Amino acid sequence: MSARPLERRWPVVAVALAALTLAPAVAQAVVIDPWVHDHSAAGIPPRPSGYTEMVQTFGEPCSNKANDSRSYWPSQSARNVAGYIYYNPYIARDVAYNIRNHVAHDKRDKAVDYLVGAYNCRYISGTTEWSVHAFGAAIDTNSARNPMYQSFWNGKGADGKDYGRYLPDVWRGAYPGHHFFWGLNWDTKPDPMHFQYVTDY
Amino acid sequence: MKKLMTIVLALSFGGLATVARLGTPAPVAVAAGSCDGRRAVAGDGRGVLRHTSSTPSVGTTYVLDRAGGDVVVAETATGVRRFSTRDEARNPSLSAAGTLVWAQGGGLRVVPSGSGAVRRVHGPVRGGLSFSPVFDADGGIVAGVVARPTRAVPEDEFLSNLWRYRRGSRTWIRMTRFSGGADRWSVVRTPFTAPDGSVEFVRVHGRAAVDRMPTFELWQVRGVVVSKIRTLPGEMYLAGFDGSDRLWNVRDGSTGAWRIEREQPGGDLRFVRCGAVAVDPLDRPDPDRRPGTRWATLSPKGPASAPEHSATDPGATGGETTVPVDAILVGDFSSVEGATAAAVTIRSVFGSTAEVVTSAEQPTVIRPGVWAVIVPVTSSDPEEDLGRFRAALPDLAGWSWIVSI
Repeated sequence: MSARPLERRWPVVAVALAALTLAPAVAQAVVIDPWVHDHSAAGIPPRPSGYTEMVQTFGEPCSNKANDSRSYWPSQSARNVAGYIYYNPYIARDVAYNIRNHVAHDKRDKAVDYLVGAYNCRYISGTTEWSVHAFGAAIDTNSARNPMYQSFWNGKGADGKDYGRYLPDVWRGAYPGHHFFWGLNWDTKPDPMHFQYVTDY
Repeated sequence: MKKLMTIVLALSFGGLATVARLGTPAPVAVAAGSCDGRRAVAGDGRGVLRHTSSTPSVGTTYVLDRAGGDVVVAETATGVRRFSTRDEARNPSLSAAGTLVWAQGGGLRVVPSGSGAVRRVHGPVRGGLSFSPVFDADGGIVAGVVARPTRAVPEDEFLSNLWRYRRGSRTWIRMTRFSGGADRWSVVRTPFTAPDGSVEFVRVHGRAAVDRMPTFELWQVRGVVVSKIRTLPGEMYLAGFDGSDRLWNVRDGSTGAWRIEREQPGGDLRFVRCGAVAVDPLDRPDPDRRPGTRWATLSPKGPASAPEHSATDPGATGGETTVPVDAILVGDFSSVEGATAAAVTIRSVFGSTAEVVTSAEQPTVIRPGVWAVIVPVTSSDPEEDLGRFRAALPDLAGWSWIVSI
């Protein structure tokens, strides 16, 4: 078997050299950001409707399990000051693995703005109804720019740049979606900061 | 002191003499029997019935809650009056003289007996929210007032107090001076005028970040003296008085249905029947929280650029990907030595692998500058694993969470 001329081997050598050059970058991409959504039933579990289903799914308000999961979010406690949020394990994979990773993967942490919150043992104001936050089943984000009763979403992030409806769309998600219900869809009592994993409550 | 015995009864008490005398049969909130929380509610089909109260020999009042503005209905011997409101109406109440009051926004609305004219009363706290107004023994109006939202508590309630409105001088006086903040909160609920002329109410206080039910207490205001009567055994709200007996709203935890219970002389409660007074129905959707259509669709540009596929189909996007893993995270530790020692303990006591990690490996669940220990979940139920972990290592119970990585 005769050896092939160098010039005919050049493309092979070039590919090999390119591979050697690019290998670290390719390997790094695979190792650092191999994440993809988990849209299985574990990642996007059934969303309850109404009080009874909510209690069956998340337990009693202010219960021991209501804040048993956590993830680390930008601008959680103040603008550009990250911190933990705590929530019910039922939505752990959706909030952390799907949504938090989604924002990080898109390199859009700056879209998140103060304040980000989840579990809170509190009442809805002036009522005997427990807030969905008391079940660990709701997340508020970009609260300072999106107060309750504001009938639009202010998409400005922590860096002052307008990210439009990027964040609401991530929380709700495309089909099959992240399945959070957006409080801005309460036409008569809009709550744009609020995303909850229950309807009809 | 004018003897005013405000007996406020559940609509489902329609058979009791105090209400039957009125000649205006009240709608029945729920049928007798078990409080299963899924019973259909009577009404006129044009709203959710809520915040019902009755005043003996005067009448019954309630809110037909609708999306947006509501209707306050007062049924008295002189007929049925309906008042449409521009926004949410709360907790209507009738005085012994037939004057109607309800809470709306930060203030009150008052309709004198025999009049159709609604008078607006501004609330005492700018940006606050009023609720549960009741007439006291001297003809004043006692109401709960919620503090305005803050940056730290942008929604839900962290503080409310009772205020008294003097109708003659048109002034508000603060009756209670409870304090509350972002974590430690204090609210008042369901004030009622007692047979002895005092105002009794439930105070609830707790911590927002703590995972246990708050403390429920029965309090009393007599003149300017505010005093605690006793700590309550659990979640319950006053429903008024029947003679000298206190009536209570007690929530059925599993269904959200309410039941009325009568307090016995020794403090024990006796079930009266299903129904509720002055509290919010939990088992029926609030018309203001039904999904609208305005923002139902996603942005035209699509939700995001992140890759989409099911973990059950890991090859959908090609290339090498990870499958999410649920784990117990223990932390945070301020030193690698502390985390390592905990990992050793976890391995020996819990019999599991335990890996020390930092934000470099897990940036979405660990903050920079600290260390944590990751313990794999071995069963199909992460919460069950967490329960076993906390039982085996109680010293780490308060520092353990379920994470998906």
